[in-house]
Amino acid sequence: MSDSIKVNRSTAAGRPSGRRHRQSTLSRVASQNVLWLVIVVIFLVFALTAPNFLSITNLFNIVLHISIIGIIAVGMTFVIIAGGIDLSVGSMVALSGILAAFIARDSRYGTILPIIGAVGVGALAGCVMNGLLISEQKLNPFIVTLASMSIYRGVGFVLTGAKPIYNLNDAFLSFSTYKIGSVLPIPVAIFLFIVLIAYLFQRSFVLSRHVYIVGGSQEVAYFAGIPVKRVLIFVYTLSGALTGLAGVLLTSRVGSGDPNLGLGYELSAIAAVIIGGTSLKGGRGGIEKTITGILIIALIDNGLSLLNVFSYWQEIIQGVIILIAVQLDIWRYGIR
Amino acid sequence: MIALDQVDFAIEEAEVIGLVGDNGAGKSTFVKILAGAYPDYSGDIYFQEKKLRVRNPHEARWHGIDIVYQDLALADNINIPGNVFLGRELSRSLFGKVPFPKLLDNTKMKRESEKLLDSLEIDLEDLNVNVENLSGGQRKAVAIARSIYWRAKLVIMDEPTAALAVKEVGKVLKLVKDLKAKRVSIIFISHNLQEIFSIVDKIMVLRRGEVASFSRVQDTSLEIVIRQMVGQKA
Repeated sequence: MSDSIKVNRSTAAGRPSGRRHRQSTLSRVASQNVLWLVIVVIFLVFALTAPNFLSITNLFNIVLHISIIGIIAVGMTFVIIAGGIDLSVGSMVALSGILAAFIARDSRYGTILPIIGAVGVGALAGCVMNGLLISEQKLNPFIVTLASMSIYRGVGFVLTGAKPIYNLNDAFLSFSTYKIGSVLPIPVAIFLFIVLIAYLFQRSFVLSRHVYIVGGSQEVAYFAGIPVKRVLIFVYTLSGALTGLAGVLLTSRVGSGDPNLGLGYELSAIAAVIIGGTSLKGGRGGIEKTITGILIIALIDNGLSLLNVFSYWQEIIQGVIILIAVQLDIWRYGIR
Repeated sequence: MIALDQVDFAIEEAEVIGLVGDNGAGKSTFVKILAGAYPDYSGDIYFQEKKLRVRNPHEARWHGIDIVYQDLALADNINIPGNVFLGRELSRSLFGKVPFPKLLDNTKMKRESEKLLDSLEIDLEDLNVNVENLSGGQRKAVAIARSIYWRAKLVIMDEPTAALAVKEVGKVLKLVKDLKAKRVSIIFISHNLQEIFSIVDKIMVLRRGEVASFSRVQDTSLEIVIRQMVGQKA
């Protein structure tokens, strides 16, 4: 074995130099646990300071809030792991919600058809506008989804005449408030189910492995024979479909198809993904990280509201947290 | 603008050909055509007596043409078995005979990688580490091992010893000899002419997109090759 090549990561020869990412398993585990510690600290601080924070109603509100943003953040996680970004999700929430509302005005269509319609329009919006332009035309995802954000919101206003669509059928309106076993609200159940499926997909599917490889380097993926374009179209379509689902749940909850629905959701979803530790550079991260990010954002939002902190202060705080998360991302993975 | 013009080239089984030339000579273009990265070429490629049209890297690999790029061979964020099976992951179907969706067979990929690396005397302590944690020599070893596993018939190596410590260069060159012993044909690109002369059977010199010379290694010399590279008469 004299000619064998041995790994000795404790020696300089075995440790490549530079600012490239060299995160050990230990530090990875530690950083993830730090986030859980942060969640516990935030929870305890608001439990001690914010009135009614620990009430059942409030905790349900937190969970409900998490579920809508969380469904979007699951899709966003795969987009960011693939090296992209999707700024259009907030507008897609409105667009898909509007479509669902149009369908749900007719009582014959109940609940299922509006859901299929919303998920379908979300998937189509994610695939055609975002996925195809980014993969086929090789356009910058930031620019493409910034454009589609504006287009989808505009289409929503045109379709509704800038007025919310009311008079939705009763089955549709009661859908999001229905509790399975009188305990588990439908949106929460759907969110948990999606998280479970997404986690299994992330760990076990060949397609998921390709998402990570494409996010790490599109060139490496291409030369390895991975269908890069198909992978990119898949992640944007998935993001659109999940956003459509979030849109229909939100529309059912608020009781109308509103073109202003989902404003700023893209920021919350992206923030949740980044704060959790998924790298903006792509190729690294996961659903379990996004869950911690969602929890941190939701707890802070809720706690500050209960403490009567003005909403614009909440936005400033969220922005600061994103900046810290991005700085941590640069520190861990060495990008700018 | 034409990057390559009238480049005729033939390689035999288990032959190592050194491809040299100054920057911009057309080396990268030439190998990328063979590897399927530049599908818009004119001319013909015959591989094992069959005419090929290589339209993408996937097709090239399917035909048995593999390329070990200097920087693009491995996915940094994936572990060692994942890189041995990069783009050709071992899988099993979730629903039996229905082909999709496919689940990763991580256990089998790890087991096969261990067997492969052991057989090549490449001793990597922990296969679960991402390849970004490996040294340059170890990375090259994984990339070459991959070509061996997939029984590539032609392996193109783009600067396989660049930026390696002297000790690691020797180990990579040993792997190249292992490949040759397994009847694999190799195109070896390097700026290190002494290294080229130590390992290849023939040398092709490219200059400004044209073949300046193509000769057996015993019929030429370091000085002649350098003169051909810079355009001086031999």
